[in-house]
Amino acid sequence: MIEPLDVSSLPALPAPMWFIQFFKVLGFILHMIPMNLWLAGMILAVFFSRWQGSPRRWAVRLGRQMPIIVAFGINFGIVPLLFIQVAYPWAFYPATILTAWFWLAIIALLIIAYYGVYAFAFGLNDEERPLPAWRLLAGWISAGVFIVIAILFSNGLSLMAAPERWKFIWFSNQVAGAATGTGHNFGDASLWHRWPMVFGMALMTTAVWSLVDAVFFDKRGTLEYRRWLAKFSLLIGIVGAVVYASAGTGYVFGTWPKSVFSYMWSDWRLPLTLFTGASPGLVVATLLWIRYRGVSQGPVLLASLAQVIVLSTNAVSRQLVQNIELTPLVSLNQLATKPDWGPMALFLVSFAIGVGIIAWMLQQVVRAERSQVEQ
Amino acid sequence: MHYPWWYVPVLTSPMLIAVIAVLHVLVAHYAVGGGLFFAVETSFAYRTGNREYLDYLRRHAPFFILLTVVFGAITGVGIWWTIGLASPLATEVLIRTFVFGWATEWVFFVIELTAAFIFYYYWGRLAPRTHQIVAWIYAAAAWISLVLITGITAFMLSPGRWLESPSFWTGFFNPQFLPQVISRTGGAILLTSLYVYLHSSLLLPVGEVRSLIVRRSTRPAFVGAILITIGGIGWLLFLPESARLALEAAAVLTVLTTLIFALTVAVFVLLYFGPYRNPGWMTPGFAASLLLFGIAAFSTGEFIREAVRKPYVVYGVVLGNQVLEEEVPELRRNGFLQSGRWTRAYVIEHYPQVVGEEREEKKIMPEKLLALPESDRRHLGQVIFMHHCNDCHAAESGYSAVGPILFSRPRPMLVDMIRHLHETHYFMPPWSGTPEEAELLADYLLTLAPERPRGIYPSLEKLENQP
Repeated sequence: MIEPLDVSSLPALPAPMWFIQFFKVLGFILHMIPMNLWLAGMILAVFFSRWQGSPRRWAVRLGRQMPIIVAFGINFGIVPLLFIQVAYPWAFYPATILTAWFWLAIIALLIIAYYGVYAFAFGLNDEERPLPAWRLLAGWISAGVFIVIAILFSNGLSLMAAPERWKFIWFSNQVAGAATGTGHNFGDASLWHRWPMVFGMALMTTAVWSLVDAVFFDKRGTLEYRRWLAKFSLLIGIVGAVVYASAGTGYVFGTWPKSVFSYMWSDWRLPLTLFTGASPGLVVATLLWIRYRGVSQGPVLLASLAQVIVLSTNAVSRQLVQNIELTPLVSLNQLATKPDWGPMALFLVSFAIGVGIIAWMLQQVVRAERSQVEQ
Repeated sequence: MHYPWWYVPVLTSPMLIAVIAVLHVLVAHYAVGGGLFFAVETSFAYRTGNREYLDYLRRHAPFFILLTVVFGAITGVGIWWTIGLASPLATEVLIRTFVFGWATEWVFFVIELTAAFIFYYYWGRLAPRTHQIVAWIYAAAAWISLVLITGITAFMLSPGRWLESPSFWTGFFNPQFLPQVISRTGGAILLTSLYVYLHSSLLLPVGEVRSLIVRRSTRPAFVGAILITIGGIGWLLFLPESARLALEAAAVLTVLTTLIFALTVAVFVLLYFGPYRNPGWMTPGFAASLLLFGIAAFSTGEFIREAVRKPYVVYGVVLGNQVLEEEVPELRRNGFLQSGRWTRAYVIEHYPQVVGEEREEKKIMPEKLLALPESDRRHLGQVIFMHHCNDCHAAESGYSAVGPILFSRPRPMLVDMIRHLHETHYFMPPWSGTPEEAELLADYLLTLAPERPRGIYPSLEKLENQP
């Protein structure tokens, strides 16, 4: 099913492609931060929740934050999905319909995982009391389900960018030409490289977030805790970078088709590709610095910036690869555009007002925190 | 026609939308009404210095968060997920038309979420005035979300001037916009009172605080009920003509409309004699009954709202079977199988003998379809059924199954009915294929139809059996 689409038959885009892709990438980066934290952080938080001392303290803090992290992660995920459906519905809908039951299962699994997160987090309210077994079990279930969700997500979206696989999956899972929705893309090698890449990034994000939490939110952290945290962050950061680098190497050299490879390995894309692969080194370097210089605001801010760069370069590179992968169906730069300026302005103005309102509310939170510390 | 069709046995895939949507609205309206409830009631409790009432509100907050932020938010995403799977063409049209409406709604959703968490987690740590402002921010953001989504969903029932001059604004401010915003706002307020009754009756002992909560939640409940009535009348007045006719013509809709009227009256009566006149009656059982009546009325209302759109998913634009209304003449000319990207690929792969050669390569030839063996004709009939009919009909058994509907209809009558689908049943989409394809569909449908039960017309049967 790789018959190219007739561009003239496709309706005009309501915004320039660069605008759609900008918000898609921005939304994806915003989504990646909390998503990374629940993907890797939840397993680690559950694992360390029954330990003593600093590991327990770390698990309690991250576990308690997890309900908010999950809420914002889901919320931020809406943006890239919305703009994906604007930019290439002709690829997104077929891929998700062919794998419909797996795709729909994400919703049911997410409800289970999210309630599990609350069950786990509410059990951490009393720092002295050990976590009851059923709450621990709920935590493990959530952590496991989040991993399954990540695989199912990659299953649908990797198929979206692989139209050459549609026909086989469709014909293997159909009744009189109608898709049964039981197809999957688990046979696609790129899926099994991209998923560990994301998990590697998730470990690095968790490492950096733990330091951000210690410096900016944890007012009662002892020096001993911070020392442990610097070591721990470095350890999971290195593990994350190694997983990312190994999986990424396999992804680029083992799964990229020739067309993608020659595109990403030429002109201005070459330094971007190389930098995308090497960027975790920045995070590891800052984590090493923190390990030997101590946990303080400046270096932690630098580590955060480095991790945002890792996530951003990944999102941008992924976008470029996706555009090329979809070329057999449609050349994206040929799509007609008929911008809807009025509603676009409504969105941008609402966005600015929204940012202002949220900033004001966060300011109140900071004030409340400060006054509590002073008291 | 542009997308593959998702076959869900027995239920049909669009019914999954209905299931998830009903579950979602029951919580989503509480998320909006609950915002107003917290804003008004925390302001009242702070103003009057009622610590006990504040304590109750604080205990209500986690219940509210667990239900709305988890179940409500995820099922909301779930609706979006399901419409993309079961109704991709309509979803594409909606998203292209209203992408910035959705994006704006997302902004308010982020505000809502931030405010909800700060309101809950910083209870007792924020100054009372700031705490109240955060509650009002939540309430406003949640209500604006409702308004934005309602503009889009109301468009599906009645696009109004958009059909002549398509733009975001003509589509958004459609004839159904205001009536539905009024009724949904009312629904949010009423449903919240019903949730509060149940929650407070389960958590609090009989006493002053419980009576206060019941009393204070009853007036909003009446206001909600009045808004639902006003919005409902507006909804009825501004319905497209065919939708209004469907309410009278379809027996199930007539029954459900009567049912919703009866349920609304029941909720009204229970509210008046219960919490309004006798707050002491508010036991968990009474509160649960009220909530169940409310949920039943709401679910029925949602079902009717969806059903009257037939034969459209987006009125005047996308037909129930994922065909653009404007495409129908072309489909009749070129063939249903030929015009669909996925049906064409399927036929070319499995039946190369019906595909034209040389200059007409990759063109399915209608006359060749009828030359196929019986079993192949039936199979292609099934392909047409899946893509033309399965949106609303299961096959042999299940949701609105065609087998029992068409039982024992003679073949010529069946073919004629298919070719004049929208003329015989105006809430059915028009036939969108060639006459040859109608024959194939009839071949398949005949395999589904059970025999006519014997003995229902004994005198006629006797007459027919006479030599």
